[in-house]
Amino acid sequence: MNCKYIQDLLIEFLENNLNQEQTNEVEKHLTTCENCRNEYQLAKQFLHTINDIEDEQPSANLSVNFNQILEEEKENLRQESIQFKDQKQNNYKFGEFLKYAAAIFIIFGIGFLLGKNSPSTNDQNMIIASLQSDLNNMKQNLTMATLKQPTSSQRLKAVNILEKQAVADDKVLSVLVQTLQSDANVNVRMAAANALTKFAQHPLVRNAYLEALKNQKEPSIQITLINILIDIQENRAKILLEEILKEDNNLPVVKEMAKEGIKVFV
Amino acid sequence: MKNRDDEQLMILVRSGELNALSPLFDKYHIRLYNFFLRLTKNQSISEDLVQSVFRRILTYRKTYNEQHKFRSWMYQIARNVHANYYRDNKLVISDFSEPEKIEYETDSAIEEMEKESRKRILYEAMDGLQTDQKEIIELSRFQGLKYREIAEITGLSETAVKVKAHRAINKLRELYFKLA
Repeated sequence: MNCKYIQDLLIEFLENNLNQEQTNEVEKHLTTCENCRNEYQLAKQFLHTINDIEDEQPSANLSVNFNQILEEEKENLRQESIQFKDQKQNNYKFGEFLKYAAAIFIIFGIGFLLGKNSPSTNDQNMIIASLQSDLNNMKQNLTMATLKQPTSSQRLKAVNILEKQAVADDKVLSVLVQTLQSDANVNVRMAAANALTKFAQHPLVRNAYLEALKNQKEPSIQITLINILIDIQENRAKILLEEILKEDNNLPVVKEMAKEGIKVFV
Repeated sequence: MKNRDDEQLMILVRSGELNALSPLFDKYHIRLYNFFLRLTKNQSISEDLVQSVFRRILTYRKTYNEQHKFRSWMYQIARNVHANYYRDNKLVISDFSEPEKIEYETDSAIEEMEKESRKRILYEAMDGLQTDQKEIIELSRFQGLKYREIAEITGLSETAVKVKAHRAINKLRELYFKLA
């Protein structure tokens, strides 16, 4: 038996990483070869040295600096989101201004025409009110049309505008729901999910959340949906959460959320 | 947050929950520090490099893919940080400087001294290895990674890693006993 061959296997032998056949070979050889027995002792000592290496402690600076880096990055993140909001609001304000200008113009214009035909003030108020609601509808339609835009940032903006509306009719809701179910971009779907929380008492919205949870597989949206469903106390979600737990493809973090959710609904 | 696993924490970091990085820092910074310390033999450089790793993790958080273990991704970044460091500082410090001495407060001083001297010999022996062998010893022995993980980090096949690790450890043993 070749001693070099045996000595080459000693580390693996010591760590039980050899197959049965090799193990037997080494054992057999060690009983007969004193030289290799010495090598075996040395290898053992060497492994002990390696395994005995203790980690050294870095100075306290390291943690301090890490926290500083973390805070800086958090600040960057905040700045980014503020900038994004500012941008959004500025663009929006200008559009708003144009719309109001147009509204005033139209109302005065029509008022002038009506004034010529001199109906009662009451009638005028009625007409103005109906014009205003028409205008709002137009604004809404425009925004909803934006949801068909090709770029996700425009669609995101549209969802944000729709979210700001105090009251939403079925049309707005159904557009948002459709966005939640089928927009190509996960961030837009997420924004739609969040926008809809304001109208979570509406059965259409509740059903949409359940439907979305059933169909959508991105972890981030799954987590958002589970959180919302827990918030709005939608007990029907329980069955879906159990499904999520059973599904192998779901991420552990999602499953963990689902588990917490199930507890809430018991 | 502590009892979530690494990948779950990193997914949170990716989604903008940056505080989730703190437990990962707590868990890994000492190991990474020692990783760099054994490669560079310099404490303050090693601290800088650990910081670079976590800075990069933050900067590139969006690129984290949960199909991969966080640990593998982190060591990939650590390797790059180390490689860049040598690219930018052509001088190869590790071949020249002694490992810096650590003060031990201990009663069993002799035992500690022996341990210390074994450690110094081991590190000296490691300097006799080729860079890739050194790295594989570092990852498989000191960082305790599995061959599969090292394969993922280095882009080698698992079998190649196994063979390399085998050769490296036997080479190191040989060098160690030449010095001991």
